[in-house]
Amino acid sequence: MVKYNDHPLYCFLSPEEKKLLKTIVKSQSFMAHETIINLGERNRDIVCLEEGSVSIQVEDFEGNVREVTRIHSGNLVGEMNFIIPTRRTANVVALTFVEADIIPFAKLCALLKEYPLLAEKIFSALSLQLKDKYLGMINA
Amino acid sequence: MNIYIRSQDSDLFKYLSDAQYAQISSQAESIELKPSEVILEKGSLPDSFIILQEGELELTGKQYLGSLFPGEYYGEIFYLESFPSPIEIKAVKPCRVLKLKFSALNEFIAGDPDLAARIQAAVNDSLCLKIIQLTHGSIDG
Repeated sequence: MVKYNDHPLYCFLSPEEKKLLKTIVKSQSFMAHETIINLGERNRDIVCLEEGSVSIQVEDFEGNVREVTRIHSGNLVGEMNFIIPTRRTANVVALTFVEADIIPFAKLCALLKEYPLLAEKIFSALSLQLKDKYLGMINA
Repeated sequence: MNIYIRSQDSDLFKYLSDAQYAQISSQAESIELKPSEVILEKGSLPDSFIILQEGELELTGKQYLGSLFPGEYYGEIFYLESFPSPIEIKAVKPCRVLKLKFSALNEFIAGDPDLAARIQAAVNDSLCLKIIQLTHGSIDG
């Protein structure tokens, strides 16, 4: 499989395949401090951070907010939620101006069902992201 | 994964048909392990999936990372990129495992993107579960 670039989701896609995927992608901007994902939501969209940084925040029993980590452009948010159906486990809040590609769950599933080669490539890209996340955790 | 239906008990082959499962599992090597026997050494360059059929395997890195139970497998982190294993896997009990070389799997899926996508989806499911296990300590089901 040819790796065209280091994009976390589009890295294995040819220009034509990227164009096809882009037909369902919603590009959205967020201002600093704006919430991108709310804890507890059932939403399973994948968010590609194209520009800017976000804070991943959880709340304790008393409602105090604690930052768990920060994620910067060139990374995905919510990719595990796309694979395994759970509620969103954290708030995602823009730290800076954020430009994001949002890939809607239902539309992506429909597209991947129709185009198996696209599915193989998207799943392979997700696999690299998950592998890095897993290695980061076991090497911490 | 969201676009396939599970058809097999084996986590790696769960989205394959019976015929596909029979075909690919015939390419694997069956190995018996005694308790404490190591099937994956830290620092080695893995070239296979390790699929547990019976027994229990223990994963250790800098610390204990969890166990594998029948139907589960390891090797997904090395499937797309080769690098020395940061973990060791050893038998806790007498075990029967299948070792399936990545090259054999690649040959099996070559030219069939649907098959490749089904394997890759199963790999992603397993990676997610392993991450959740590390986050939460353990997970049922």
